[in-house]
Amino acid sequence: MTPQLGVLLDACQQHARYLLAAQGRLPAPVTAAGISARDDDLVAALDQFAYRFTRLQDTLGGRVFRRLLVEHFGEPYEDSSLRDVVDRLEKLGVIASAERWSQIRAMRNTLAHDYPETAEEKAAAIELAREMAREMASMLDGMRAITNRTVPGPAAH
Amino acid sequence: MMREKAWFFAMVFSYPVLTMRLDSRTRHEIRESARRFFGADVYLFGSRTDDAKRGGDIDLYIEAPMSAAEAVRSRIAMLGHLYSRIGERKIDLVVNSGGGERPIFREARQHGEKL
Repeated sequence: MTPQLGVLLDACQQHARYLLAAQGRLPAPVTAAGISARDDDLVAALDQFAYRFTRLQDTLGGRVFRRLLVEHFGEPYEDSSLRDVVDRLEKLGVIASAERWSQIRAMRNTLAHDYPETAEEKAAAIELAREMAREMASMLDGMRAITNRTVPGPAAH
Repeated sequence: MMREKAWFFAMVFSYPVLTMRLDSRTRHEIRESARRFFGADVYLFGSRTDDAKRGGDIDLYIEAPMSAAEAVRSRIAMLGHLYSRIGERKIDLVVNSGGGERPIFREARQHGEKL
Protein backbone atom coordinates (compact mmCIF):
# COMPACT_ATOMS: atom_id res chain seq x y z
CA MET A 1 0.00 0.00 0.00
CA THR A 2 1.28 3.45 -0.88
CA PRO A 3 1.73 5.64 2.18
CA GLN A 4 -0.50 8.69 2.35
CA LEU A 5 0.91 12.09 1.48
CA GLY A 6 0.70 13.25 5.09
CA VAL A 7 2.76 10.29 6.30
CA LEU A 8 5.41 10.94 3.67
CA LEU A 9 5.55 14.65 4.52
CA ASP A 10 5.99 13.73 8.20
CA ALA A 11 8.92 11.47 7.27
CA CYS A 12 10.45 14.33 5.25
CA GLN A 13 9.96 16.67 8.19
CA GLN A 14 12.05 14.34 10.36
CA HIS A 15 14.83 14.17 7.74
CA ALA A 16 14.76 17.96 7.37
CA ARG A 17 14.92 18.45 11.12
CA TYR A 18 18.03 16.27 11.52
CA LEU A 19 19.54 17.71 8.36
CA LEU A 20 19.26 21.27 9.65
CA ALA A 21 20.45 20.17 13.09
CA ALA A 22 23.59 18.67 11.50
CA GLN A 23 24.02 21.84 9.47
CA GLY A 24 23.87 23.88 12.67
CA ARG A 25 26.78 21.90 14.07
CA LEU A 26 28.99 22.54 11.03
CA PRO A 27 31.43 25.44 11.15
CA ALA A 28 30.44 28.32 8.85
CA PRO A 29 32.06 28.06 6.44
CA VAL A 30 33.50 24.57 6.34
CA THR A 31 37.12 25.01 5.26
CA ALA A 32 39.63 22.75 3.58
CA ALA A 33 41.81 22.94 6.71
CA GLY A 34 38.84 21.87 8.84
CA ILE A 35 38.16 18.91 6.54
CA SER A 36 41.81 17.84 6.63
CA ALA A 37 41.89 17.97 10.45
CA ARG A 38 39.21 15.21 10.58
CA ASP A 39 37.89 16.31 13.94
CA ASP A 40 35.44 13.70 15.35
CA ASP A 41 32.59 16.17 15.83
CA LEU A 42 32.97 17.52 12.32
CA VAL A 43 33.02 14.02 10.80
CA ALA A 44 29.92 13.05 12.81
CA ALA A 45 28.08 16.20 11.72
CA LEU A 46 29.08 15.67 8.07
CA ASP A 47 27.96 12.03 8.13
CA GLN A 48 24.58 13.02 9.57
CA PHE A 49 24.29 15.85 7.07
CA ALA A 50 25.06 13.61 4.07
CA TYR A 51 22.75 10.84 5.29
CA ARG A 52 19.75 13.10 5.91
CA PHE A 53 20.37 15.04 2.70
CA THR A 54 20.22 11.75 0.80
CA ARG A 55 17.12 10.50 2.60
CA LEU A 56 15.25 13.79 2.19
CA GLN A 57 16.15 14.04 -1.49
CA ASP A 58 15.17 10.39 -2.09
CA THR A 59 11.83 10.71 -0.29
CA LEU A 60 10.84 13.99 -1.93
CA GLY A 61 11.86 12.97 -5.45
CA GLY A 62 10.99 9.31 -5.22
CA ARG A 63 7.65 9.48 -3.40
CA VAL A 64 6.30 12.85 -2.25
CA PHE A 65 6.29 14.63 -5.62
CA ARG A 66 4.15 12.01 -7.31
CA ARG A 67 1.79 11.63 -4.33
CA LEU A 68 1.34 15.39 -4.19
CA LEU A 69 0.25 15.51 -7.82
CA VAL A 70 -2.01 12.48 -7.59
CA GLU A 71 -3.45 12.85 -4.11
CA HIS A 72 -3.53 16.60 -3.60
CA PHE A 73 -3.90 18.01 -7.12
CA GLY A 74 -5.85 15.01 -8.41
CA GLU A 75 -3.74 14.80 -11.55
CA PRO A 76 -3.10 11.59 -13.54
CA TYR A 77 0.62 11.24 -12.84
CA GLU A 78 0.52 7.81 -11.19
CA ASP A 79 2.63 6.16 -13.90
CA SER A 80 4.46 9.16 -15.35
CA SER A 81 8.23 9.50 -15.41
CA LEU A 82 9.89 11.46 -12.63
CA ARG A 83 10.92 14.02 -15.21
CA ASP A 84 7.27 14.66 -16.15
CA VAL A 85 6.31 14.82 -12.49
CA VAL A 86 9.02 17.39 -11.73
CA ASP A 87 8.17 19.47 -14.81
CA ARG A 88 4.52 19.52 -13.80
CA LEU A 89 5.36 20.63 -10.26
CA GLU A 90 7.50 23.40 -11.70
CA LYS A 91 4.52 24.59 -13.79
CA LEU A 92 2.31 24.49 -10.71
CA GLY A 93 4.88 26.60 -8.86
CA VAL A 94 5.47 23.96 -6.18
CA ILE A 95 9.14 23.69 -7.03
CA ALA A 96 11.05 26.70 -8.25
CA SER A 97 13.06 25.00 -10.98
CA ALA A 98 13.16 21.50 -12.47
CA GLU A 99 16.79 22.04 -13.44
CA ARG A 100 17.70 23.03 -9.88
CA TRP A 101 16.05 19.86 -8.65
CA SER A 102 18.31 17.88 -11.02
CA GLN A 103 21.30 19.67 -9.51
CA ILE A 104 20.16 18.72 -6.03
CA ARG A 105 19.89 15.14 -7.27
CA ALA A 106 23.45 15.39 -8.64
CA MET A 107 24.61 16.64 -5.24
CA ARG A 108 22.87 13.73 -3.55
CA ASN A 109 24.75 11.31 -5.81
CA THR A 110 28.00 13.16 -5.19
CA LEU A 111 27.56 12.96 -1.40
CA ALA A 112 26.59 9.29 -1.62
CA HIS A 113 29.66 8.36 -3.65
CA ASP A 114 32.12 10.51 -1.77
CA TYR A 115 33.35 12.07 -5.00
CA PRO A 116 35.30 15.23 -4.28
CA GLU A 117 38.85 14.08 -3.72
CA THR A 118 40.63 17.13 -2.38
CA ALA A 119 39.81 18.89 0.88
CA GLU A 120 39.19 22.13 -1.08
CA GLU A 121 36.61 20.41 -3.29
CA LYS A 122 34.97 18.67 -0.33
CA ALA A 123 34.63 21.99 1.53
CA ALA A 124 33.21 23.67 -1.57
CA ALA A 125 30.75 20.81 -2.13
CA ILE A 126 29.50 21.07 1.46
CA GLU A 127 28.94 24.81 1.12
CA LEU A 128 26.85 24.23 -2.02
CA ALA A 129 25.01 21.33 -0.36
CA ARG A 130 24.13 23.66 2.51
CA GLU A 131 22.32 26.03 0.16
CA MET A 132 20.48 23.06 -1.30
CA ALA A 133 19.53 21.73 2.15
CA ARG A 134 17.88 25.06 2.93
CA GLU A 135 16.09 24.97 -0.42
CA MET A 136 14.75 21.49 0.25
CA ALA A 137 13.58 22.56 3.71
CA SER A 138 11.70 25.55 2.34
CA MET A 139 10.29 23.42 -0.49
CA LEU A 140 8.93 21.12 2.20
CA ASP A 141 7.44 24.07 4.11
CA GLY A 142 5.79 25.17 0.88
CA MET A 143 4.23 21.75 0.33
CA ARG A 144 3.03 21.69 3.93
CA ALA A 145 1.39 25.09 3.43
CA ILE A 146 -0.28 23.98 0.19
CA THR A 147 -1.68 20.77 1.67
CA ASN A 148 -2.85 22.46 4.87
CA ARG A 149 -4.48 25.36 3.08
CA THR A 150 -6.73 23.48 0.71
CA VAL A 151 -7.57 20.41 2.73
CA PRO A 152 -10.13 21.80 5.19
CA GLY A 153 -9.75 20.50 8.71
CA PRO A 154 -12.57 20.31 11.32
CA ALA A 155 -11.94 23.96 12.26
CA ALA A 156 -13.05 25.09 8.79
CA HIS A 157 -16.61 23.94 9.34
CA MET B 1 42.24 -14.62 -48.77
CA MET B 2 39.48 -12.32 -50.03
CA ARG B 3 37.31 -13.24 -47.10
CA GLU B 4 40.10 -12.45 -44.67
CA LYS B 5 40.60 -9.07 -46.29
CA ALA B 6 36.91 -8.23 -46.08
CA TRP B 7 36.86 -9.21 -42.43
CA PHE B 8 39.89 -7.02 -41.80
CA PHE B 9 38.25 -3.96 -43.37
CA ALA B 10 35.01 -4.61 -41.54
CA MET B 11 36.93 -4.60 -38.27
CA VAL B 12 38.84 -1.45 -39.10
CA PHE B 13 35.88 0.60 -40.22
CA SER B 14 33.54 -0.49 -37.47
CA TYR B 15 36.15 0.21 -34.81
CA PRO B 16 35.13 3.77 -33.89
CA VAL B 17 31.49 2.74 -33.68
CA LEU B 18 32.26 -0.27 -31.49
CA THR B 19 34.50 1.66 -29.15
CA MET B 20 32.07 4.51 -28.54
CA ARG B 21 29.34 2.94 -26.48
CA LEU B 22 27.24 6.06 -26.36
CA ASP B 23 24.66 7.13 -28.91
CA SER B 24 25.33 10.29 -30.87
CA ARG B 25 22.68 12.35 -29.09
CA THR B 26 24.15 11.53 -25.68
CA ARG B 27 27.63 12.42 -26.92
CA HIS B 28 26.30 15.68 -28.30
CA GLU B 29 24.59 16.60 -25.02
CA ILE B 30 27.73 15.79 -23.02
CA ARG B 31 29.94 17.83 -25.37
CA GLU B 32 27.58 20.82 -25.34
CA SER B 33 27.17 20.83 -21.57
CA ALA B 34 30.95 20.65 -21.04
CA ARG B 35 31.30 23.68 -23.28
CA ARG B 36 28.50 25.52 -21.55
CA PHE B 37 29.52 24.90 -17.93
CA PHE B 38 33.31 24.63 -18.23
CA GLY B 39 34.13 26.18 -21.61
CA ALA B 40 36.23 23.07 -22.19
CA ASP B 41 36.49 19.81 -24.13
CA VAL B 42 35.38 16.56 -22.51
CA TYR B 43 36.98 13.12 -22.72
CA LEU B 44 35.28 9.75 -22.40
CA PHE B 45 37.35 7.09 -20.72
CA GLY B 46 36.92 3.87 -18.72
CA SER B 47 34.46 1.11 -19.55
CA ARG B 48 32.47 3.04 -22.15
CA THR B 49 35.51 3.05 -24.42
CA ASP B 50 35.98 -0.70 -23.99
CA ASP B 51 33.69 -2.89 -26.10
CA ALA B 52 34.24 -5.87 -23.81
CA LYS B 53 32.70 -4.07 -20.84
CA ARG B 54 29.31 -2.82 -21.90
CA GLY B 55 27.06 -0.48 -20.07
CA GLY B 56 29.20 0.63 -17.14
CA ASP B 57 29.34 4.14 -15.75
CA ILE B 58 29.96 7.01 -18.12
CA ASP B 59 33.43 8.17 -17.09
CA LEU B 60 34.14 11.73 -18.17
CA TYR B 61 37.22 13.87 -17.77
CA ILE B 62 37.44 17.66 -18.08
CA GLU B 63 40.43 19.96 -17.70
CA ALA B 64 39.52 23.53 -16.80
CA PRO B 65 41.70 25.76 -14.62
CA MET B 66 39.46 27.37 -12.00
CA SER B 67 38.99 27.51 -8.23
CA ALA B 68 37.82 24.41 -6.35
CA ALA B 69 34.54 26.21 -5.55
CA GLU B 70 33.90 27.06 -9.21
CA ALA B 71 34.82 23.52 -10.26
CA VAL B 72 32.37 21.99 -7.78
CA ARG B 73 29.54 24.33 -8.83
CA SER B 74 30.16 23.78 -12.53
CA ARG B 75 30.35 20.02 -12.02
CA ILE B 76 26.99 19.89 -10.21
CA ALA B 77 25.43 22.26 -12.75
CA MET B 78 26.65 20.10 -15.64
CA LEU B 79 25.45 16.85 -14.05
CA GLY B 80 22.06 18.35 -13.23
CA HIS B 81 21.73 19.64 -16.77
CA LEU B 82 22.63 16.22 -18.18
CA TYR B 83 20.08 14.49 -15.93
CA SER B 84 17.45 16.85 -17.35
CA ARG B 85 18.56 16.28 -20.93
CA ILE B 86 19.38 12.56 -21.11
CA GLY B 87 17.84 11.24 -17.90
CA GLU B 88 19.71 10.22 -14.79
CA ARG B 89 22.68 8.04 -15.70
CA LYS B 90 25.65 6.86 -13.70
CA ILE B 91 28.05 9.58 -14.71
CA ASP B 92 31.46 9.82 -13.09
CA LEU B 93 32.65 13.30 -13.96
CA VAL B 94 36.26 13.91 -13.03
CA VAL B 95 37.34 17.54 -13.11
CA ASN B 96 40.97 18.60 -13.17
CA SER B 97 40.78 22.24 -12.15
CA GLY B 98 44.52 22.60 -11.63
CA GLY B 99 44.69 21.67 -7.97
CA GLY B 100 47.34 18.98 -8.42
CA GLU B 101 47.99 15.84 -10.44
CA ARG B 102 46.17 12.58 -9.71
CA PRO B 103 46.63 9.10 -11.24
CA ILE B 104 43.10 9.16 -12.68
CA PHE B 105 43.93 12.35 -14.62
CA ARG B 106 46.82 10.60 -16.32
CA GLU B 107 44.70 7.55 -17.10
CA ALA B 108 41.97 9.72 -18.62
CA ARG B 109 44.46 11.69 -20.74
CA GLN B 110 46.17 8.53 -21.98
CA HIS B 111 43.11 6.42 -22.71
CA GLY B 112 40.36 9.00 -23.07
CA GLU B 113 38.63 9.84 -26.34
CA LYS B 114 37.59 13.41 -26.99
CA LEU B 115 33.86 13.67 -27.52
